Amino acid sequence: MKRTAVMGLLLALALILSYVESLIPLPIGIPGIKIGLANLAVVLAMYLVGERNALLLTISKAVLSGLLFGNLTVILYNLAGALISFLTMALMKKAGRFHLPVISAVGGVMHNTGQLLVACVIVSTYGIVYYVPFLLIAGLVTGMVIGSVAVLVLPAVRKGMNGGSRE
Amino acid sequence: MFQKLKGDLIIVGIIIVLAVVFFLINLIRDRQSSGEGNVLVVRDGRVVESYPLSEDITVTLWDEERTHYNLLMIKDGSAEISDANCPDKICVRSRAIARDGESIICLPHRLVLSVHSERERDMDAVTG
Repeated sequence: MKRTAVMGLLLALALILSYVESLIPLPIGIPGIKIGLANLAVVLAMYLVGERNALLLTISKAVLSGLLFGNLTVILYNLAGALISFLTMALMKKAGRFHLPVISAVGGVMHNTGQLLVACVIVSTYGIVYYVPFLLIAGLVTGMVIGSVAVLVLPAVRKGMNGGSRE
Repeated sequence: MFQKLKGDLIIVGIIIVLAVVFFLINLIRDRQSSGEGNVLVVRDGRVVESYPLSEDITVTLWDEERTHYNLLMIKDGSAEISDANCPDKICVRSRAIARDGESIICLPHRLVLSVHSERERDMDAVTG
């Protein structure tokens, strides 16, 4: 039961962060670069409710935020980035050899490159390869920041989940 | 603890090395061409139009139903989208393109502008 509630909260968090992100225009003008705020919810989910539930959250987030703030193409494009990103993060977490900020950084990088790949296929061009270095560095930096936020937030949320009412 | 740090460093290192390698590839390609060649207008994966970068021109690119448009502006050897009626306006915010292989993509309109320099003549200029 508690798990259902936490999932609901995380999904709401993911959607509101997607919305906030859609309000912030990035002046860089490079396709595929995102701050990846919503990734915070996915990272938190991985550590709070386990990988399987986090995967469910990833898919619902991509589909719902696409429906709410985008269109069908956006969903496809989001889903590809989100799934590739999630799978690498889950594998890295399982390996147990990396800290959360780095796991999240790789998630950010994979999210950007995954979207780029889908864009390549949809518009059938390889010219976008030009932007790869920018996508890599941007994903690395934003992912690290998001991961560090998650490290700071996690202990508090865990405390709340394990009987916050008693305090 | 330190074992994790080692893993962290390896991963971050790989990403930075990859970024540098791709950046160098870009630099080498930049040297070879800039401000020459044509801007290809590709819609749904087919080349529909081609404009030389050497001529200043402003042209409205309509789709077949004449509902979607992107305003292409070529000036001083570089091309950009100065206006469009797509929902996200990512193409309008994209940087101007001038070098071989650079492109501007408007995903909602399935439109790609890309620069092809003269030496890459293996591709047909107009097939649509």
